[in-house]
Amino acid sequence: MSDSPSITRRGLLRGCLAVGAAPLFIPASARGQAGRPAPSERLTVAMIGIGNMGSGHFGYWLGNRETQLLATCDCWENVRNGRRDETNRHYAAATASGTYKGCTAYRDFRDVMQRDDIDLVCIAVPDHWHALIVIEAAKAGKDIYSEKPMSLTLVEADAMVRAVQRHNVVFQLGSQQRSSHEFLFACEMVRSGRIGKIKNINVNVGGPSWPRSFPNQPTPPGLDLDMWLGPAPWSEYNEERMSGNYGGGWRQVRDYSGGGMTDWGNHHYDIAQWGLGRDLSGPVEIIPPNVSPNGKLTMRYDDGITTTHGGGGNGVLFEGEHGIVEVNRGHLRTDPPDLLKVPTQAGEVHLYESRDHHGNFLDCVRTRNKPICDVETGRSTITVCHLGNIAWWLGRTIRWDPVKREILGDPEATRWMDRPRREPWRLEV
Amino acid sequence: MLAWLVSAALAQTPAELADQLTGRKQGPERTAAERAAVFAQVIESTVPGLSSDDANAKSQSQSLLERVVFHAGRPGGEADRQAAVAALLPLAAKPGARFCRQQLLLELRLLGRADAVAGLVALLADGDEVVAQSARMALESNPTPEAGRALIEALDKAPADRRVAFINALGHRREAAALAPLAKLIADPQAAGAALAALAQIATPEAIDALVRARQGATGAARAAAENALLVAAGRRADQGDAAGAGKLFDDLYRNAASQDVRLAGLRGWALASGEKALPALLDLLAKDAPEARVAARLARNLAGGNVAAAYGDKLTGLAEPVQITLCGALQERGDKAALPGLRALAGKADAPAGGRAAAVTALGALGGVSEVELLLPLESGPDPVGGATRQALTRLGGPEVTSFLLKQVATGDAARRTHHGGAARLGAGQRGAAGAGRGAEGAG
Repeated sequence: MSDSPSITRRGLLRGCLAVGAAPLFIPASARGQAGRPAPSERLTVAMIGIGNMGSGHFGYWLGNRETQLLATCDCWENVRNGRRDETNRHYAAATASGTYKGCTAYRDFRDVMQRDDIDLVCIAVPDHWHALIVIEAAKAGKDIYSEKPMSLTLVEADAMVRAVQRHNVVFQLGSQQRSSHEFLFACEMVRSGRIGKIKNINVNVGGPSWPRSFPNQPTPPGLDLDMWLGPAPWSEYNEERMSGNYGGGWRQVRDYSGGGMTDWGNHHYDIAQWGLGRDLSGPVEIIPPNVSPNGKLTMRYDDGITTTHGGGGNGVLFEGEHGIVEVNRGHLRTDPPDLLKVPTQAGEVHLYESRDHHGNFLDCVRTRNKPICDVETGRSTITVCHLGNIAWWLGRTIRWDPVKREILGDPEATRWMDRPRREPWRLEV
Repeated sequence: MLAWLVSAALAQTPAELADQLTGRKQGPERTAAERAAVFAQVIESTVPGLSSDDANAKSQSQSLLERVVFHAGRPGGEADRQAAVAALLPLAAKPGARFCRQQLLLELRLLGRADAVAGLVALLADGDEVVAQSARMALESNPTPEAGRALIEALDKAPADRRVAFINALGHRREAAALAPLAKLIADPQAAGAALAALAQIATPEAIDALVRARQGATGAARAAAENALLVAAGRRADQGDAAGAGKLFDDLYRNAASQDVRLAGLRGWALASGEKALPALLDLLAKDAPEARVAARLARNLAGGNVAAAYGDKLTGLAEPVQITLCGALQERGDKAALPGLRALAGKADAPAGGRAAAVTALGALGGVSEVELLLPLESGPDPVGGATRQALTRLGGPEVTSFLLKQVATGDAARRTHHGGAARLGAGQRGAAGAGRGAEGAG
């Protein structure tokens, strides 16, 4: 091997040259709050997308003693500059001089990727951008925390897995329910057989996105509309179309998102998959509401277990031969009720435990190990959601090979596995 | 006679026809001409709404158009698909509202085959840039060879500022026949990045030769783009079962790429393509004071081979702490009990780095059984991170025999050990759920 022409800081982190910096290699969650690491030991962060969801992440990185926010990036000028200024004020308050200007604002995420001094990126942009930014970040060697849903298409999810693995980067998907105790315990109870063989799981989330029309409005000053649209088909500006609100906005527009099926679906179908132990697999038959005898989107796994969509439960309802486990945020109910009073026993199934989704990511950035919702797990979950959408949109049953990752016997449905992109954007598979 | 049949077929209300074409109701048997006529009528009926400024009218028309198209695309519905394409193409070609034409072309993207190619090609030169772009997208998604040939011709004719769109489309389709024009475009600074990426997707031996040539003598960003393309292409070769070809490419990138990230990616790719043959080299790398060590450690998770877990495990005690932590995690994920002796050795090595020992203990908790208890018990009361990891590990160790063993130790041990063992037995019986269950119940609505 020739001498390294460009040993980066990230390279040092990945390697063992920094062995003297002991805190780097003891998981953050085990370290307590004994002082903030020196700036040279902090993980440096760029926030890409700082709207609704991004705001929460922004606060986390800014408030975390082990990280230093170096860049804000957003299509909205007021957002990126406002967050930059907020960041600089925050760090300035901790300096003797009372000044700090170390955070820079960017319009284009590609400029962020050029910075060699940024260790990790947090991506909280609309769904149609997730894959392309994740792949660019992986190519640039950045570790990645990305909001869910993982992707807009099935092929994008495959490309993300390849890029993350190819470039040896750490990826955590923002399916933070995996780091909440009630979901962990629920899945351990199910996996340990406390309610017997599972028959059905009811997953109560919203439905698909649809093509939607909005009146054209003038593009507001400070918005880079072309960048906002990115790979999506051209559209004029409309406030509602580009809004991040949860009741409507871009989440309900098929050009940008899969709707409730991929938004909350990425959370609750994720728990269904976890409870079934299907993190690297998925259903084989997807029956849309208009075809299913029960009138609900129904998915069947190769062992006959089904999931049904919507209604009938609070969050995720596992129905077994001997009882039920129902789980949602801050809610855990079992029948028999005493099931949840018995902690997970030795000899029962103990799943990967994380109590802090961001913290688990930071631990893994340091150890290089697999986060609780890594890219392969994320792909399997979003696959379930995308298949549900495709069957629902087309109004016909889809058959799926989860190993080959192919839709069977339906060439026109297969076209929904990906979408063409507006130039100059392309997907590197 | 034909006119009469068509007339009869159309003697239904638009709502009835829409129900039939969307599969909600069974329609009458129709000849090809009748079918063409009803599809033309229903699809054309959506144009005023799609062209309107009224958002509700647009949405209703979009919805109807989409339902017709989706039903026409069903397996076994080839005659309907052809009729729908035939109805969509002339409407998309007509000058009109951009949104309307965009929607019609979107449907052609989902439905068009060879029968749509000529009509779409004609629209590539449309005066409305968005319409031309939508036609290109429809060709890109068209699965027929005719569409690939059309895109190659379009690339040849495209002005410089439109080439990237066609290059990307050809790359996405992995059009091997586009090799020559794409290779030529590597010399064009405006198109080089897209051309390299497209050749990487194609990844035939000839495409790889073109990438290798592009890399020769290149510097800076051009070299980085060529090396990234080679990395992608090597991955494609591996996916296609060409382990030898992929391994050679990866090895070259590992040894010679300009960027450290690509070199590390090359190392990973080479190792996975080589399987167990890569093991000796990876084991050597573990001791290196360089980023390769942790990449080599991560490969313990999925390198193929029956001896991998044991061989990696044997190396654990002699490694630097960060590599130990990474390797223990990788061996835990691999789930191969052959790593247990190495993990035990590290966990029990009192002078080993604490982080490494804690990681080994955690892995033992996931992979081990009753045989780990005697080793772990003395560690339970130690300082963190080893003590904490041990307490966690004891809760995870599988099998009722673990709890029985712990309880037996409590009954027979001296006072100090009884304290430890009693704690462990409690933990072994399971501790995690109780507090959590309480938290969950509190939140119940």
